[in-house]
Amino acid sequence: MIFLLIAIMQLTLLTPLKERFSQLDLLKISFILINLFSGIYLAVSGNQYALVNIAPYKIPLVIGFIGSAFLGIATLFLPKLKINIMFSRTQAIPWLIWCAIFTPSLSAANVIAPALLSISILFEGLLPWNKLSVKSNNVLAQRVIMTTSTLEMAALIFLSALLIIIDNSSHAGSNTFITARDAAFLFFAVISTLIYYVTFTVIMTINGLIAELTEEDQDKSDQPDEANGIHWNKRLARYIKPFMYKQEKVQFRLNAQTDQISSLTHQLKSEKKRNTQLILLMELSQQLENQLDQPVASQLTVNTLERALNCSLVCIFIHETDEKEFMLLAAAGSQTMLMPSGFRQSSSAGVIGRAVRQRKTQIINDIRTDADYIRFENESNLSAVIIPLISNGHVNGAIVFNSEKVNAFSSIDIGLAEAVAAELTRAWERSSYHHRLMNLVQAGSQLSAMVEPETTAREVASIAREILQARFTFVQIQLGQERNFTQSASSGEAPRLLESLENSVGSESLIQLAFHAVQPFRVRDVRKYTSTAHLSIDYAGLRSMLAIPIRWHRMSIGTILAFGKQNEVFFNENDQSLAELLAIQAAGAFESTWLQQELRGSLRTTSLLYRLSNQIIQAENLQNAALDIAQTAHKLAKSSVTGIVLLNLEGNVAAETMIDSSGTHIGIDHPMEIINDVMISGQLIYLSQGQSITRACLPIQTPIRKYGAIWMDIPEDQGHKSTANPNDLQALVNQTAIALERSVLLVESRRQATEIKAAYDMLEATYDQTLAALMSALDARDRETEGHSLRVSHLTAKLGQTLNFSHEQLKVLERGSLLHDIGKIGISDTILHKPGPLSEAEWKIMRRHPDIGARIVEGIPFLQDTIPLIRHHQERWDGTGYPDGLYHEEIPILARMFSIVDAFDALTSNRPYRQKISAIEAVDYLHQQAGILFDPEIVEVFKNLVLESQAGLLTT
Amino acid sequence: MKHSSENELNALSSGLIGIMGVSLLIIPTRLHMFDMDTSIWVSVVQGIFAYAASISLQIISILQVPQKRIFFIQSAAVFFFLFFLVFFYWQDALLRP
Repeated sequence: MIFLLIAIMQLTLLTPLKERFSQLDLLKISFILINLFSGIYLAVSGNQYALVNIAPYKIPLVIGFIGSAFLGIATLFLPKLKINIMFSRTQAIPWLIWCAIFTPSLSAANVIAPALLSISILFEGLLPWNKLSVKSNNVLAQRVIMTTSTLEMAALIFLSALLIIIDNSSHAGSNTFITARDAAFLFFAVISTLIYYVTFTVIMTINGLIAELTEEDQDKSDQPDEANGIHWNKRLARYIKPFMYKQEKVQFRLNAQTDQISSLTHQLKSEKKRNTQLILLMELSQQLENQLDQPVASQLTVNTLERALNCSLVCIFIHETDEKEFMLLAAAGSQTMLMPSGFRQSSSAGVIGRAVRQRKTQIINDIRTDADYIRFENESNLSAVIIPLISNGHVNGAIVFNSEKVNAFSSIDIGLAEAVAAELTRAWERSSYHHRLMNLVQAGSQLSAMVEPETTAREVASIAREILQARFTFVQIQLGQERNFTQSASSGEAPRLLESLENSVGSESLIQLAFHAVQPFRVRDVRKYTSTAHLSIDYAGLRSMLAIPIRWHRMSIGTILAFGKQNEVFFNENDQSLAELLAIQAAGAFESTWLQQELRGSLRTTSLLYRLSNQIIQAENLQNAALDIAQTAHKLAKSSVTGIVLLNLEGNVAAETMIDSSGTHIGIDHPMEIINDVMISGQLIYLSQGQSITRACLPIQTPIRKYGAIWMDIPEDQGHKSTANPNDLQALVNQTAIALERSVLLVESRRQATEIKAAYDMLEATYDQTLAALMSALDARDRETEGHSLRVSHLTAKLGQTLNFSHEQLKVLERGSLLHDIGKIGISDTILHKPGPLSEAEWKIMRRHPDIGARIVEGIPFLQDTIPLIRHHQERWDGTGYPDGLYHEEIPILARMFSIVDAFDALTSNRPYRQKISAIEAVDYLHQQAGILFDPEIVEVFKNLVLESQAGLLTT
Repeated sequence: MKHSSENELNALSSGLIGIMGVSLLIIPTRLHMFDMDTSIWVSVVQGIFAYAASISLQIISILQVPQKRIFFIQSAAVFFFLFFLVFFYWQDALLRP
């Protein structure tokens, strides 16, 4: 039955049915079918089987076979059942019974096959096929398998041949219960089993080594074996180890391993705890990184310590140095109610006081044994640790944590707490630094708005004291090219130190050292430092110092000295970095203040000098000018006495005055000796007068002339220097000299201009008289026209006045009228005095006289403007005139005016060929010819002029 | 069919055929397959082939061999199963009273 069903299953693997049953476990089905059919076969067969009577066992075997087959079927339908493995294995039981029944009969066929089947059922799924599988590239394992198989085969053949030889030689019967062949069979079976075991182990080892080397993934098809929870390395180790160790050794090793596991477990727990603590510390560190609020940072810290160390109470105290007390800042833990809000404790009492004195962590494993520990009422704490928070040698606070257990804190716990304390100290320092930095930024805006040097210096000293947390600060500034802008200020109460600092200003001591330093420097004790030993400090708290040079554009302009760090012993790096920022802001503020002061001074000086310049020019006399100069100099130099002496060209005193606190004085004695010296040297002279007074004397001079000198008695400052700016004084005398020179020149210019004007007028009158004489002479050639030129000249000027001509135009009109017939000089007397009418040729010559007249005056500059009148006085309004036949407005207006007046004078004068007519008749004639010969508008004006004139004559 | 299950079926088949091969070579008389007159060499040759088939079945379960060879070896195994089956029934028929 076994052979048949196994053969059927193997046959199934050879046919396409294999694919159809790919999801089924044919081996299990084989076992089930074998058991089922075996049970059925046994039930229907007789009681004798292979010469063995199985009657007594028949029913149990049948039940066993069929029952186990059904259990096997159950595993197929309920694959997730936990006891499936047991159900599967039960199928081996009837076969083991079968083997037991048939073994005595020595029927190999009936024993061996069931035995093998039983083994297969029992070990189903246990063979590590994934580890036994040899890949094509695993040559070593292949060689092992082939060699083993070949050796096994060879051994079997050899054994068989040997047995045949033995049989033939001994003729041993086969009726013996155990023959040599049986023994050989058993021997071979055992050896073969061992060979298989060793071979499989070797293959698995080789595969394992190769897998480790290649790190290849395991075959996914073997995963079900792993899913069954079978770890073959362990299983193999379980079978191998018993052969490798003796029992006692194993026990010893087991005990040692147990101890080791226990130790490792404890270590693991400690590491876990440590790891948790470190994570908490890291979290706290991150939280404190950005936390700038001191109470919040403290609360975060106590919360973390309470969680990390499992404390019953954690407190953080802040040290208030002035009150010499510790004040509760934050608390956490189950016993927080023990600590009232705002709890204070003396900094010298209890364990905290001891921690402050010793400046190290205090560990109290049992507080009942520590006399210093101050217990609260109902306090159940039994152990405590106090960690002082020390920064730069100063105790800023303390962390106190308690537990209700004795010896509660390990060295690791305390180490962690100390790390937390260090982190908190840094957070507090950052907080303080940030707070001070913000104050400094705000102070910067205040400083930028400062205008007064004194206020700025005081403000800088005050800000420095606040920002640097100093007990006393001193500021010294020296600005300007001549270092003439000096300012000092202080903040804080230290009169002795201030006095010694003020006395040391200017000497090559601390101030100069700080002044010339490139960056801030710190002194731990000024009493022990050579350059500062001369300072006398009021109390020991002032012994530490921070010196800050104030630099602007790489030039030292001053220094800030901070003495005595509040609440701490020394100034630290943070103070130094803040000091650098403060120095930059102070430098900007002082520079700005200085520039503003310089600007204001320059404006004041410029204003004074401008006003003085105007006053000098407008001064009525030299004495007034001298007074203005003296007053301006008195204001500018802020002198106690000011005097001025102005000299005339002969070197005698022309004006003088003196101003002092009582007023202005004239006629007093001036220091002529020094005045003469400066007049000779031309240089500013200073002369000390004692009693902190310097006399300055300056010459008032230009390259052309020396006007005099000014002298001033000027008070000296603390550095025995004159308070007046020499540049301002020099500018004053220069401006004075220029103004005086301008004034003199102006007077001279005015005088010369008056003289020139008079000469010009005289020359002009002479010209006019000459012209009049000339035209009288010309008129005298012709009795008919005698006096004509003068008359028309006067009348034309009147017409010009009526037409609102300017003085210059009237002059031109008058002169042009006077010279209008000057061209007749070039006309022959025969033509000019011809008694009868002129021929055409004669008229032609006669008509050339305006052109000739124009050319005559052409070369005379002051008669250039008269040329149009002279040339065109014979032109007519309708264009019938000569010499150019101009029409209407083409004719110059002077010529148009003159032609009307000329005609009027001709009509109202007697001629040899006619009698004169009256002015009214002449005007009528002109009116008739208006628009023909004359400009009608001018005729109208002239008519009114004549009529008014006639009316005036009648009235007269 | 699962890979490991097929291997185990091959292993069982290998075991059965191998044991039969060894039995034919070493204890042929215990199998009651042959008469006393039958030459010993018949059982030896059968045993050698059966054992060779058994080892081949083991090898195809472990090594990666061509499909044709697997087919041949499994066919040989089936042949031997049927051969032994026939012999067992024949012997059983002979021995049955």
